[in-house]
Amino acid sequence: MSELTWGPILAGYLFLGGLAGGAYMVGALTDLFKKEKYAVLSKSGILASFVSIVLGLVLLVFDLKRFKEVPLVILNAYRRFPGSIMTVGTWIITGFTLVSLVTVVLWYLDGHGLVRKIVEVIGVILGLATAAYTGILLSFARGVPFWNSGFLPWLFVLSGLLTGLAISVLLIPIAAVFMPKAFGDFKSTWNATSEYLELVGYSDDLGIPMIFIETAVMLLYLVTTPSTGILWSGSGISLYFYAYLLLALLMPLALTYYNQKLTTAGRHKMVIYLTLLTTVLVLVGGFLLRYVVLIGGQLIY
Amino acid sequence: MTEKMSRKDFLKAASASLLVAPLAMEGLTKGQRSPVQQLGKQKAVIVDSRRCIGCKGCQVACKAWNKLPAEQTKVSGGEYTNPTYFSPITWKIVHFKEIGDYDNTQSGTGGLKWRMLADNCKHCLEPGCVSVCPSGSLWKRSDGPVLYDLDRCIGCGYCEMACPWGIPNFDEEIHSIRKCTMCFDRIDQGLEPACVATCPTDALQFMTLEEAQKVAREAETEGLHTYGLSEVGGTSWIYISDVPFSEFGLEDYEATTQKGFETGMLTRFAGIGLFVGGALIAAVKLYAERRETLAKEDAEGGS
Repeated sequence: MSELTWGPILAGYLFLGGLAGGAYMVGALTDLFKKEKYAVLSKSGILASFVSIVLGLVLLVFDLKRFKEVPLVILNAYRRFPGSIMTVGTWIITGFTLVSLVTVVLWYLDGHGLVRKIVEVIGVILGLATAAYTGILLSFARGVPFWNSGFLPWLFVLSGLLTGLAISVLLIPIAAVFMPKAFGDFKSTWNATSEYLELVGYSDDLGIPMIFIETAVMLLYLVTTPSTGILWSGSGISLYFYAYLLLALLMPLALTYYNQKLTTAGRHKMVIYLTLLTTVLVLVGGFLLRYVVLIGGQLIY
Repeated sequence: MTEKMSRKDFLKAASASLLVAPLAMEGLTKGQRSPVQQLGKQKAVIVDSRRCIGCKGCQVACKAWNKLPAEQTKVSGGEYTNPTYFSPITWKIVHFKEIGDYDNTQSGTGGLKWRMLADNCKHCLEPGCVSVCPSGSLWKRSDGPVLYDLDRCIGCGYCEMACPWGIPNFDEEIHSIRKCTMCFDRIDQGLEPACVATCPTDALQFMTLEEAQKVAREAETEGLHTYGLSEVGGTSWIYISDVPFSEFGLEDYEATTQKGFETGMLTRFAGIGLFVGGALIAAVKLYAERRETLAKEDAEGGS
């Protein structure tokens, strides 16, 4: 290979696909198991998942080298079901996009609790499949042994869950500040600091274990896959890898621990600022993970 | 009345043909993919590195037959291989390698062996590129060549990632991937591929797959190295050499077929998923319980 076939735009798509699947799973599972106690977080997660899967699809389609010449050629991607894993993925993502749109609509038409929950069960399965597919896609590429790992899809799923959780927490103040009329419930949660802090506490309870498991899966991926030494050996890509470790895993852990101390001390404003910072770090770190894996693999082979 | 009926019939026929048209077209493309004439036994090519003199005639013949423009070449640094990589317009390269034998025990040529190897798409028996192609552009013809349909390619680049040797490459000008076609158009006329026909030393030999595999197995019994008998589940172009293929930069790929590779990957993914899923659920539960206990203790301590 003379140049990168899959570049940063595709890393963006892999990131958004994982994030969309993860945000949906966080939102829907919270709705299914927590009985609307954290309804605002559920709604935020599902809304974020729909927006990001659509953005991801836009990136994906424009990255297809033939799209600009023959836009309808994209329909060919549906042809080889189930012969090609990419076709399977195309169908999964199409289904997931539709289901997440339906869920967003159902959240706005309140009073469809049962229907919404049935749709959410389907959506969770499709969301998991979407997030895992972004990794399976790479693991099937026989020409790049760096990606041929059963751990990689799970690494992307875990990162998807974490980034999904982060965007769900971050979207509440963003929507409350910029679109207060459309998101009245987001605004009231954000204005009543204690309510928002309760959501933050709940997301910490999910996020901290996820970070530990993601770290474990990352280590297992590194140990079991050939040539992963490129990530820490001081090559050009190592910098991005260390940035990922710092931004996606270490700093969020440290900040959350510090936040718990601040909460006990009653410094709520500071807790909120640091929480928002943490969510941004997790999101940047999530993108770096895709970038490092995607580009690193192509640099070696 | 009759006129009315015939109009109705006409509409019926027209709508039916509209429905059937896509199917008919699909049938047509399928028809093109399996021509009427018998394709016969699987074809193969033996590439014997020991016979190669590095004349690059095969490279030129490939360019000439397939009307491929010249490559803007660069000094490749330390070797005579040029160009050093495959591209949409370079389907064949000839590796030139100086192989050190410094104790001078084997070659008796001053501690150095000169070896050349003509290399191109190996037309795998179960091609990874075909397996991942979402649009059905890539396909394997029953007599051996791995071919592609220019109109179906969507430019996703997955075949480029799935080929262990970086063979398919997207051509920005014709908007499709391109690679060696094993000169299927010559094979259909009863001719050998252009590179084989040009080779002056018979380093390239065209035969049936069975014959080629037999030749390669015999070479193995003579202590020679082969590439393509078992690699990635077998290929239609089989290489023979007296030096290991790692010298030419050809990796030692697993003998699993593409289907076996994909099934193995999914099995690993599912097995690992059981552990990851279990660990995540347990960790979330344990962490929440621990936080509750701590909160209770705090509350009790505070009151």
